[in-house]
Amino acid sequence: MRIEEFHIEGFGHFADRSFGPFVSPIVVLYGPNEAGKSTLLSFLQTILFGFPTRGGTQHYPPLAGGRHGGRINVLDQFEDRYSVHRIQGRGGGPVTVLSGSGDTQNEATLARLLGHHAEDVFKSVFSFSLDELHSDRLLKDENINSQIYSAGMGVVKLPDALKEIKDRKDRRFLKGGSRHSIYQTVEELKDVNSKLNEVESNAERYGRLTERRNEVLEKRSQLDAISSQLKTRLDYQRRLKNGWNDWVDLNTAEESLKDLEVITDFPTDGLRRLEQLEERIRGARQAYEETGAQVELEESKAKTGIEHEAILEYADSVRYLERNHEHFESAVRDLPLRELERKHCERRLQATLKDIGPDWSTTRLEGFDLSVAVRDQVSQFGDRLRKSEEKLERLRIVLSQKEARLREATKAENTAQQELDEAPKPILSKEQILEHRATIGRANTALLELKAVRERSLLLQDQLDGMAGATDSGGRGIRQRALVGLVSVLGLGLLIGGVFLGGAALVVGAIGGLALIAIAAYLLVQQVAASASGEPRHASPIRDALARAEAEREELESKLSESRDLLGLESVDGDSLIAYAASLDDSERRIQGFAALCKSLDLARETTKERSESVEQSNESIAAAEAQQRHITNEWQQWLRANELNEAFSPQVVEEIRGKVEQGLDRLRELRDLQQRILAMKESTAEFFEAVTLLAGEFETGLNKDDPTSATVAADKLNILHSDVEKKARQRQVALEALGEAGQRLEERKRDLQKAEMELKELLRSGGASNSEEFRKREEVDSQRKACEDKLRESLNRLQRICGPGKRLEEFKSALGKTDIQSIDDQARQFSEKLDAIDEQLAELDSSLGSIKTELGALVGEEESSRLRMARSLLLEQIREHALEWAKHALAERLLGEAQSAFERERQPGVVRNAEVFFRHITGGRYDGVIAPLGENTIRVRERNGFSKEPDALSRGTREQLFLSLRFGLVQELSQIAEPLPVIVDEVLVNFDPDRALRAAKAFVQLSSTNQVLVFTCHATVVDYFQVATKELGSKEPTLIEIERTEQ
Amino acid sequence: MSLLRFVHAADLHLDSPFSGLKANAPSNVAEALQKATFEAYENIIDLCIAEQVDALLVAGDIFDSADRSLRAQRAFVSGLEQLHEAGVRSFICHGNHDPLDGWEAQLTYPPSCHRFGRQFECVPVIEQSPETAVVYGISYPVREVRENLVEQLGKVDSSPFSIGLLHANVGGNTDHDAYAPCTLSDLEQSGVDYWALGHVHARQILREGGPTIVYPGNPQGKNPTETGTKGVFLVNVDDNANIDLEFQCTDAVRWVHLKLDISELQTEQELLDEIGELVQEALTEAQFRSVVARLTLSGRGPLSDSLRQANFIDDVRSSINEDWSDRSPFAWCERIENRSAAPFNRRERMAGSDFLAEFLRLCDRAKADLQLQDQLRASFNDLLEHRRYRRDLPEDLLTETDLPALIDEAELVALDLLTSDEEK
Repeated sequence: MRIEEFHIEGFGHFADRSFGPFVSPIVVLYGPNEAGKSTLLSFLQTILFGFPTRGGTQHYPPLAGGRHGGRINVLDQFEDRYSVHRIQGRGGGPVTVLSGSGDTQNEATLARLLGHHAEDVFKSVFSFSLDELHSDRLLKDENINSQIYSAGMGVVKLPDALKEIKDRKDRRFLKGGSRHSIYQTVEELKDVNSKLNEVESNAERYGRLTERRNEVLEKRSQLDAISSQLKTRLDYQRRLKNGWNDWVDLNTAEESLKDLEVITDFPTDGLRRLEQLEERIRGARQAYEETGAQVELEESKAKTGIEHEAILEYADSVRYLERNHEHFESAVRDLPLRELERKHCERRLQATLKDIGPDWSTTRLEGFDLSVAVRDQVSQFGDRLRKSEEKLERLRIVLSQKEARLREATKAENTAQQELDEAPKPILSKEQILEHRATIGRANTALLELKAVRERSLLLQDQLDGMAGATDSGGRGIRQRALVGLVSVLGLGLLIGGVFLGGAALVVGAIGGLALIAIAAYLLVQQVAASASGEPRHASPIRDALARAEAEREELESKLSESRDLLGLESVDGDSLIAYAASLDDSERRIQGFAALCKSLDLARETTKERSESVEQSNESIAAAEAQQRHITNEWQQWLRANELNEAFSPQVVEEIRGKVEQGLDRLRELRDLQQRILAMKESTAEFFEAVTLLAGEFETGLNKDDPTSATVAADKLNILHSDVEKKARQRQVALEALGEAGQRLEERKRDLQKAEMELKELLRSGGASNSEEFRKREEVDSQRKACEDKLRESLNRLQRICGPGKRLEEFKSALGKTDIQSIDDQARQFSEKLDAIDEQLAELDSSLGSIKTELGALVGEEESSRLRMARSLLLEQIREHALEWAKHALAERLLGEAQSAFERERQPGVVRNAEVFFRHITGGRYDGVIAPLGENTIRVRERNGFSKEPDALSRGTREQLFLSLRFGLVQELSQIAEPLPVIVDEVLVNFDPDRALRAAKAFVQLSSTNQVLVFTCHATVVDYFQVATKELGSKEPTLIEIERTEQ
Repeated sequence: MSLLRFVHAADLHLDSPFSGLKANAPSNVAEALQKATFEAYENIIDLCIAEQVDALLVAGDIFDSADRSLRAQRAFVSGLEQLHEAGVRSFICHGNHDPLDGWEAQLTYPPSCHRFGRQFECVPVIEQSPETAVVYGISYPVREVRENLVEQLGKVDSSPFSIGLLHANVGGNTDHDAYAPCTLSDLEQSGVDYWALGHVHARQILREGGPTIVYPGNPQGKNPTETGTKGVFLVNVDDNANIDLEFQCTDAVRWVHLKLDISELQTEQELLDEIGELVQEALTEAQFRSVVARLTLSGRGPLSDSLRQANFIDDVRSSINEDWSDRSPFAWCERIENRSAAPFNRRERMAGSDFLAEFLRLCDRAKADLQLQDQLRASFNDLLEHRRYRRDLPEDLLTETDLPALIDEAELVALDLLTSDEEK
């Protein structure tokens, strides 16, 4: 894209200003400070890429007026012209792109013109000022450095990858480090090896321990033999000692037995039995004496007498008095009250009878039939009479309603009759109307046909005239053609009219229209034929046709006159027929109105008749209901008479009397109950008093025969006396029974005593004693002898057990007889001491053997060495693994490093190669290389002598030349793939020395062969540089535009 | 009618540690591995007693003398004592791992056990009936026996039935040291009817009949490469000297190598499920033995990226072991080797002109250029010649490493880091 010129409507202090045309590829915009160079630079950026989306109005506001914005005219790389116009507004401001021919272009065109670059790329690479030039922001822009370092995917990560690989490698092994895996694993391995060396020395120890074990076993065997002998001898001495006491007891028992008398068959357990019998005799005697005293006591109780014992014979009477005591008292107290109550009842009964009627007595009361049947009869009569009455009432109401509706119907009939009388009568009938309509249709058809026939006649007549005259055939042809056209138009008109009118007119129109068109066609054919021949050869047929047409006309006119007569018209034409058809429509409507009135009158008459019949029916129903009511009333009065009741009573009255009768009967029953109760009370008090009186004669009770209340006191006294006598009689009976039982027990005690005395006597006899004292002495001798014999036997048994079976007892006894206890103890002690000494030695040997065996077992069975060998194996494998991992990463690091060096050396990206050419040129060969290290967002330069430098190590001017070169490289690279954009720079050469400034200007001139260059400057020298550069390079002189400072 | 029945075993390597294990096993697994050689030996003893064989023949490398394991020797003698009590004789020769001059505990062998010395001896299999069969055997006097011992035997009598018991490398097996080397022909011409060999850990029947020459292999796999069934041969000789071989499994823990193609797997859970199925199949196939598994992943698929994430493989391994290692019988995954393909089209990338292409071309050049390989290998010297470690590092560390394969792995590491965010 190249800017041809631009026009500012309003931007900063510029208003309505144009710049251009820019003829040369290099345009120098020269002006002093404050002239507005930066404003112009911003204007170009803003029109191309839009106002800032926020605060657009504040972006160089139009201080000198005009709309905020302007226009740039450009040429694309194909020399097509476009105009880009933008004013401030929403979303960066509306933009209009017009082609050279004035066509509006869409935004895609603008994007293409701008090489599809984003605004920031444009500002960084194509349009920049001095400030931007010495900043390395260019390298940090992702969009841009992806162009610079276009070494391919993956390379961006190269530094990180190399670092990660080194980390991984160093984790496995790092020379001089101690935290890496191999170091730690080797340390573990050393530890395991050291432990394994220890464990393997166990083999020698195993051999030594085996020999030692065998020695100990030999010595132990010898000591076991000595110990065994000593144990045998010690055991014999211990047995002698154990048997010594038994030996002594044996000798003592044998001596004692010699001094004791021999008593044969002394009763077993004699002494105990003697003492038991003596105890029994003492007990039996004491019981006998106690029972005798009890018999005497019971005897004295049984003989005691009782006062008033005779009252026991009146026990029933006394119990009667006790039972009825309270009843008697209440009867005496209540009797007067019951009498008063009875009188009150009698009065209420009389009042009820009087209420029912004057001739009612208790007898009639009791004779009144209160059965359910009778009650139902009364109830049924009541229902029937009520229903009959209600029915009659309903019928009368219905009758009055019907009479009212009949009156309404009569009135409506009169009204309908009056309307019919007043309505106009129809003139024509329906059939006449239909006939007249058909006639109109036919007349219409005839009219149309007549018109056609007339025209056909005229046509034929013309033809005949043409044939008859020898005049100009051309003029006739014209007339004939005019006639054909006229007939055709008429036919078409008739056809269209018929279609438009519809109905019968359609039929007529169609037929007539088609006929006329056919005639026109015929005429045309005739005309063509005639014109072809030029001879009146067809005059005769035409004349025939004319004659037929005349005949048709006459016939049609005749038909029309018939129709006129039939319709009663003065003349027949289209208008009169339409008017008559309309009058027929009126007649039809009149007939319909008259018929509707007739129908209304018929309906009204029908209604009146129906309602009159209904009134009649109601009257008949009322008469029947009244007869029914009379019949029921008669039946009711008969019933009343039969029941001796007043015939005027209604069923409701009879129901009321029935209720009163029931009430009277209740009161009569109540009175009679009361009378019976009073009578019963009087009888019971008399009976009680009589019983008291009877007993009062036998026993003193203090009864006053005239005072009934004293009877209760007398009855109480008789009761108390009877209870007292009864209690005493029971006590005497108990004493008699006790006396009998005591006598029996006395006899039993006596028998027990005698039996025990007999048993004692028998025991003494069996022991050879005459009395108890003697028995006791003989028993003592017998016991001593038996004890000595037992002891002798036990001693022998124990000695047998100690020394063993058979003859050994005699040898043992002999040995005991030859020694004493002191000698035995001495011998045993000596043997025991020797044995202890040997046991100690054995224990030491056993202990030693145990440890040897334990150690041997541990050596044979220990799993430590297995575990350690396993651990060693694992560690060795781990070391191999770590080493392999290390080696793998070392290789990766090395290979990546080699590839990186080669790539950087041989395959620098195009941007950097281009930049290198510019930089070498600008610096006059002082620097011969620009290097972009792979994956790093930085750049380095190489001096002629081979040393490389970072940008920070360069002087400001040289650094600016480097970044200018990089931009040149980028501009060239980007221009190869998209629309080449103008390069717009603002004072970028000011920090360069004159030589390099001129070289840089030449570089710009070289660049201008592909990209337009716009240079803003306030330095005249810069203008000179460009002029000299273009001159020296033989390029077109730059376009110089001076910008004047404007007063603000 | 059976003339003779015996069990032929070799290379028991009692109590020698397992090699090639990278990860520390959980305690139950470690314990089972430590006991495995003993259990396998017990299985052999039980087999001899249950089958009521006439003899057990062990063809060398019963234990590793260098380990000086009392436990191993005691366990061995204890097993022989059981055979003695059951009336089964035992014949033993010593190999390179347990030569006669090696360390030996002072243990008493039962009278029915015959240990062959440094010269060939001829011993009847059944003492009471020497005409039935004899065993010719010889032990290694020292660890490294480089001469052909079969030549010392010469030609033996054709009768009675003869068995040769020898620890030797027949036919120059390159997987094992060339001790007592001899050829198949040497054995065929010796006149021995059955050669009971030891030394090669893989089961091999070199010849069936006239004579029958057999390596039973070791009765318990000792490292991840010794996969599959392991055991001994139960040999039945009929009256006509016809030999019937019946292999019997004796291993207590089985090594398996599982392989899984990840191409079709979409999620990590699918990966775990597939591995679970493989492990279950391995356990079923091992018939109630525990299994130590090495898993190799291959193919290229949606999971390729995940597999290259740090710790992902370790996490998968932990997850498998959490599920399977504390069962009985257990399955324990000792290592997962990720050989799944690179996550992008290498050939296509190499054709480009960018840095990655440069790197890939360099890798290819390094794999082909021996001089460049020497330079690369020299960079390992930092570790191998480090004064602090060189004594303790394994002698063969990195010296026999397949450098091109290592370059491939290095390439994967670099690509992984450089292209981790790329669209594959």
